[in-house]
Amino acid sequence: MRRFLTIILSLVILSSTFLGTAYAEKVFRWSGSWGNTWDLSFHQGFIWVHMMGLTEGLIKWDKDMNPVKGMAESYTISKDGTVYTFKIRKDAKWSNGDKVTAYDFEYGIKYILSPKNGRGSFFGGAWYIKNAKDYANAVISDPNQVGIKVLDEYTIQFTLDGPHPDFLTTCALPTLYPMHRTSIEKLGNKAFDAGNLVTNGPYKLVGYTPNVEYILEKNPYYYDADKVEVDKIVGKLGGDPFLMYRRNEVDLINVGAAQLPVIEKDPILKKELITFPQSTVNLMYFSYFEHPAFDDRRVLTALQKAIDKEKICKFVYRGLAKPAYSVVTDLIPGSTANDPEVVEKFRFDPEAARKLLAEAGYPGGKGFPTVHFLIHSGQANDPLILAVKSEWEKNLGIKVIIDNYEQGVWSVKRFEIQSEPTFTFSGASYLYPDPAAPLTLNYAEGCLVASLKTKDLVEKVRLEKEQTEALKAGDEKKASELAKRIHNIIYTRSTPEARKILSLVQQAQRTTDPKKRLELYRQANKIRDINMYSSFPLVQPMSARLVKSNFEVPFNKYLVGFPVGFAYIRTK
Amino acid sequence: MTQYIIKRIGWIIFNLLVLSLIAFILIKNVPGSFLELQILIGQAGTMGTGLTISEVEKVRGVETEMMKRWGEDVPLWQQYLTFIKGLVTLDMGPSFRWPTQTIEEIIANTFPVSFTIAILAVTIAIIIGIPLGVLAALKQNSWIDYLVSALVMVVSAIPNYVMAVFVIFLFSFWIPILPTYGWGQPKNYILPVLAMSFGPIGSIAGYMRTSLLDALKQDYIRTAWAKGGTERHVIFGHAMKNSLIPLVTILGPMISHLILGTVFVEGMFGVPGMGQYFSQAAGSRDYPLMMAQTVIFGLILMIMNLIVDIIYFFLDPRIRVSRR
Repeated sequence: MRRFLTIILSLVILSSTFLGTAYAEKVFRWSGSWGNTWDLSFHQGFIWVHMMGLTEGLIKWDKDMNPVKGMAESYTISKDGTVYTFKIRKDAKWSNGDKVTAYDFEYGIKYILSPKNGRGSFFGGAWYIKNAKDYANAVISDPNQVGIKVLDEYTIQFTLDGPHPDFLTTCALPTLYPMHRTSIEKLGNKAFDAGNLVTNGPYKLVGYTPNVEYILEKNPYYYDADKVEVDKIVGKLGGDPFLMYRRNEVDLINVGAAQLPVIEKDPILKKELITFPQSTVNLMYFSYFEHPAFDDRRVLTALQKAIDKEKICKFVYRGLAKPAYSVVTDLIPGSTANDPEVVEKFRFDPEAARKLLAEAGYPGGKGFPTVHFLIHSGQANDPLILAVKSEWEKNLGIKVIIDNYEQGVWSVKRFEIQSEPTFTFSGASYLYPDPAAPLTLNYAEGCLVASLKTKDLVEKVRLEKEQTEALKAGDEKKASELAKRIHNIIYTRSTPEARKILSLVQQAQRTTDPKKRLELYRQANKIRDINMYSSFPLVQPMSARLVKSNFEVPFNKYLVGFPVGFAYIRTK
Repeated sequence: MTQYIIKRIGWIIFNLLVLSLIAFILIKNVPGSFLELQILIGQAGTMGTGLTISEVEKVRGVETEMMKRWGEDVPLWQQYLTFIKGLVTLDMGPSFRWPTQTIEEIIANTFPVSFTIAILAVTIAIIIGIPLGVLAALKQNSWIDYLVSALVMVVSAIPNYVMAVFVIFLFSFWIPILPTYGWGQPKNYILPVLAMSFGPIGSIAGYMRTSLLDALKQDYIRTAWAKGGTERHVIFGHAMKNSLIPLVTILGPMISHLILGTVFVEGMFGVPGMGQYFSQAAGSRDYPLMMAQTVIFGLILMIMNLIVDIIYFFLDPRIRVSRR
């Protein structure tokens, strides 16, 4: 009996010791992502999940958002800054054990650009590659004309349309990611299903229930797998995040101003609340309409100065935002968001705003046209929109009507020529900390258009629609004539300041000296901010997150507050 | 009876064709397209790299592989015939919004989930609703009747997503025994089914009460009493059977609506059902899925009505006589 008891006791001790030292799987559950497909050519939430852990580019971001080598072992840049040559690391493997080659990068980038695939409009640095934009927009059909060349199995070369010093940083973005050719060619669409998706990042996709959740597990073939601490990532795609967090069903959620009073009262939640600035500006901008009042700088300044942004940030956002005076946030180098001259020009001053409006011929708002806010159903409950309406009505005596449309209808309406002055609302986020991120050539050309008088803008839009019709009808001659007229409007009727912005951006893109480049972008930003054109910056929102105290998560200020990467999450 | 069912199935096919044609015309005339919304999503948050208006115009002329069958270059009648062909051959192609899944796969994956939840909710509603209605009718104008009527009114008026929050608080916070979110285990069914059953409980109890009160006033009930029937015999043998007929009428549409109309409850609890897919399809102009959803909803409704009529046939001898 004694012997029997000894054996039992030993077994119990042994098993408890074993259980005590057994490896406990580390799982991180979060709520705040969304998406419908893991195909990288569709621009929606899951491309950011790819970036956070599934797929890795030639360059990646470290936990402090500095670009570091990812799949690239080394790289060289030509003297004129237009040719980038990358050597791929030999130990890079896909989640099925295959080696990652230069051909995978060529295939992936061309797959994403191809007009036959998902057609996400965001192409990031891919548009710097020679002919990439024309290929994406089906202007050219031969993918071999795109400036990507595989020199050998582990060497890839990109020829750009000009020197773009930020190209290296954009190599960390999903539009320059590799894709696993064999699985896509073999399985077609099914290659993007959980279990089939082959990835080269620190995690692989093992489960996905649409509208419910997805599960990622550590990729054992990842070259840095030893440094990845969390074994499993669970993304919840629905539910009430705040309830789920309080029930301990998730470890990370986004919180908004409405939840702050509850969090403030709870000592545990208060301790777990993390707030940080975000590279986003919420703004309103003109739609297409014709009215001389909106060509008058005094009116445009009055409209800005009549909005009490401080009050909106304090009461609407409960401190989770700060007033914005530039469309480029102060997180972007070269931003003039805090330039005293810019801030002073648009600072809240209802008295001055009324005076400016009166000088323009609209004393007390008399005779001023009714202004419309064209919004979609997703914006119907946005208190910022109601706050701006209230500020303008109260401080300037003008009438504002909110026209709320279903999102699909809105997406068409916003491109139509409106019969009365109309504004739409949006948020602008800049994805990486470089002055070129907001001031692209595309944007600078857009400044020319934005500086046009409302009459000229409407004429341009009408001609563009005629041009589209002519192209559809196959009348190339007419289309070409119309293109000349459009070009003429943009380049002869835009303001000198707008042309100066374009010239500064063009100069900056050719400049390799970082200091000089930054100064050129700063000048361009300031001219844009002072002359403001058709966008009114309103607020710069902050991110607020609740994170369980046993996790340490580095956040990405440039990607609407997602974690920088799941591989950087640590347990405490 | 067989002849009647065959005739009804013929009408169902005809009605579905008419329904699909009307839906097709309406859907193709709604402003906005999947591509435009895709561009919109791409632009949101990437202002600097988004497209300008002239580029949007250009992109409008570009079609992805999956969109070719719904493309502008093919006449509308041809697009419609392609859809019908796909419907008949069960090859409706991929969804726009869920490009790695075909319409058939989406339906095959989500219908069983939605159907199970709907049937469970209706079953609970029947089990609770019928006795409540009977009790209220038998105790007419008593405090029991008033209490049941008040309860019926409250649960019928409160939307199921409010009930969802209520059951979460009840069973996940006050009595923390169930998870608020998730799928795959039997316990995940409990909260969504409960949240969805409150409305039907109210409707069924309300119908049952009114129907039974009506039946109790009928001459045949008076005759049954006069013949010396017991309470049990008169109420459960005669009145109940007839008062169930109006109830059967509402069960068909109730199940159809529960299968597709549970968007909020699905989202709240993480139920991978049809409701969310179909509501998102309309919002993202996913034409193939929108068309399929309309036809499926019509089909479920018509089949439910057919089943109700067949049940009527067995419940009510007058219907059997009139159809002879």
